[in-house]
Amino acid sequence: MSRLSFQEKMLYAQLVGLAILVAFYLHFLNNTPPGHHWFHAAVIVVLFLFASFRMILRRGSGNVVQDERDRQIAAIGTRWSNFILWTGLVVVLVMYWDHGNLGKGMVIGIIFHLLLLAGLARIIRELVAYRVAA
Amino acid sequence: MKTLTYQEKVLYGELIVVIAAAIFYVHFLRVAPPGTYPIKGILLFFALLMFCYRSFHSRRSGDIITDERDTMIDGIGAQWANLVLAIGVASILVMFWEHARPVSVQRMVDHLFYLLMLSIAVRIVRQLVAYRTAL
Repeated sequence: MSRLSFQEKMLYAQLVGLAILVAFYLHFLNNTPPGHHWFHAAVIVVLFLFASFRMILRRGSGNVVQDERDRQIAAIGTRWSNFILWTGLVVVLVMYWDHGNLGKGMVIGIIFHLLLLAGLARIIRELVAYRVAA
Repeated sequence: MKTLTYQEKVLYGELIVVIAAAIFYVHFLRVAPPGTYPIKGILLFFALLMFCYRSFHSRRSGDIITDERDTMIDGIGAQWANLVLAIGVASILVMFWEHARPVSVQRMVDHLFYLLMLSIAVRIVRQLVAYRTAL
């Protein structure tokens, strides 16, 4: 664990954040009607926690400087994430315009899973890139 | 127009396609019930058109080599587009889970389409600006 760079630690933290989000979605959001959660508050708390974690890790870690390679890897991950999001959204739109038999809940479910998939693909692609020559 | 590089010409081409798609959506697709237009066919046609335009220009232009700067600019554009998309999609989810809005699927599809167009436009404009300024 000590051989991990600051950027890699952040990526693992994001992966944990995604796992918590999925658990929250499956246990609470998926089963209840809209308007039953303090969702804005939950988002703000998660953001605050993440910012604090990042700051603590940044202070504790020595190698926090972002170099050319980090930026290149971030761009690779972003491209993957973008591709998945764009393709997924276009598929949702085409499905609606062609068949029209999509419910609101179904669209929200697809969008949520799409966002998760895009985030996951970005994180994993960046982690792989850090371990191989970029 | 003479001083534009191949990458900038492609970006302007993409911008024109985005504007055409937005006009088509507002004038035809939005007001027609689902199933009226053969969307799959139209999308395939546009993909083919874009591919032909790209290969035609890459044969004609001399400066088509993608260097370090092009890759960096591409990355910047992708980051901006990704940010817009992620924030937009997250806002749609929060609006639904908090207030059960938008009220209909048609509205939701509207939001998604405009979000997609906005993210593509932001990417193109950011890249065009980056090509004209020092990084």
